Amino acid sequence: MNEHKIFRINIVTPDGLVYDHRSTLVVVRAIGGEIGFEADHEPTLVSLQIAPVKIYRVNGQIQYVAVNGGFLEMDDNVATIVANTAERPSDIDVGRAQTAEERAREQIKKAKQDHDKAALRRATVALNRAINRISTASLKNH
Amino acid sequence: MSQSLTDIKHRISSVNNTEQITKAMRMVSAAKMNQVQRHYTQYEIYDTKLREILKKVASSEFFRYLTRSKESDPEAFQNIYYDLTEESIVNSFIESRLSDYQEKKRQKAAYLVITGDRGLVGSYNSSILKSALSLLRQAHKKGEDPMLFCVGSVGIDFFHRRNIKIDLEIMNLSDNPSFGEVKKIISKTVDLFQKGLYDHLLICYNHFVNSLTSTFRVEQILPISELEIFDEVGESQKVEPLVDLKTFPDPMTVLDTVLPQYAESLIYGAILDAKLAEHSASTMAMKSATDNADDLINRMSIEYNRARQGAITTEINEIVGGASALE
Repeated sequence: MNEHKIFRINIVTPDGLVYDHRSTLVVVRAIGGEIGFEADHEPTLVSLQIAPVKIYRVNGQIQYVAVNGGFLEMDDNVATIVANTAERPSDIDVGRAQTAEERAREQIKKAKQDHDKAALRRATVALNRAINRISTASLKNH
Repeated sequence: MSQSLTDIKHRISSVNNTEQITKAMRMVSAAKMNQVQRHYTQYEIYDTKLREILKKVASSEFFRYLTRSKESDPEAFQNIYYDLTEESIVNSFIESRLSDYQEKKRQKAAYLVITGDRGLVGSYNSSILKSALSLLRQAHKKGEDPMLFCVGSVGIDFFHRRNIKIDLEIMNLSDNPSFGEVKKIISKTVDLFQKGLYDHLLICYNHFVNSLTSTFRVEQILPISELEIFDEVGESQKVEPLVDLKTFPDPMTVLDTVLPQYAESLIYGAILDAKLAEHSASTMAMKSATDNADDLINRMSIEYNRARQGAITTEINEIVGGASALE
């Protein structure tokens, strides 16, 4: 891993800068597929899905951050993820995420019965968020 | 000496109690203000970053094509507009540049009025509501039927009393609202806009100037017309783009993410700003209440001392009078 060049990865949310570290590789799930970023990547703007972001730290450690959509900007060896929320696995309340998941599933069922498209979309987003949190939390020990 | 000594004493102690309460409330408000202020600086990091990115997007090749008018560059226009459908987000989100392409149809306004949840904030709420009401009345006079979103129970009660329909309301915000807390109202507002239920959004709130003053402000958030970003870029239109930004999966999808997020950020910023102004208004109100109580106590102490002096004088008079009567 040591031959890899290092770049900076920041995550900003409306509640401030939540992540600021150096990294050798960042893998995000963009709309349309997964993308990995290494240092000296060309300036890019990428729309993200609600999914965990995988960050390879300089010491070889792998960290995950649950990012709620938003986008990633890579420019001048600084990758910045701008999202509404972003949580480290240790900050995730799994119990809460699980109840949110159940609630979202019920809402989806109900929305499908009522043919309420808007409610369905909202519930789907909520479900994705909950699943994202749960899966990120379970990745903690890797 | 109209009042008895004990009367005045009672009043002094009751005013004293009140003063202690207002003093405590002032300190609490000041602490909350600091909290929100700190939060606001955190938010500013996010806001600045978002603006920066938007600026880059605006300077990118794609966006320039997008905003160039049909006449000046018909060929480029055709290429790019090929997949721009009527519901396309960019059309609705960005106003001025696309006006020649899209008929201006400013018909349905929406007002987002941000008030506090409680009183004891001086003229904070009343000044917002008065101005907002007159704005709404003007709109009605013009035959419009604007939508109304309201934050804060004071505003909600106010409009209910006047039988004005509120389309979206949220109350009991915490003193230092996190983004997650207000996300619902924000995304709903942006959602309704994207669905085309209204076509421009005005936010009415008190803008925090400094801890002594705040001013009422009406800001148009949607469509994003606060395009100093785009104007700046527009002027340097002949210059090379800031960076040659690649987008993934495609420019439209990226704009679809960036623009709503920017709109949400603006609304959140306004709510934070309003909260800041509310706490500072509350601090000021409590400060002047404390000062008034101080004045009152001073005046009453003088009154009390006079009454006491008077009582002593009368007593001496009586003793002297009694003694001389015995002689």
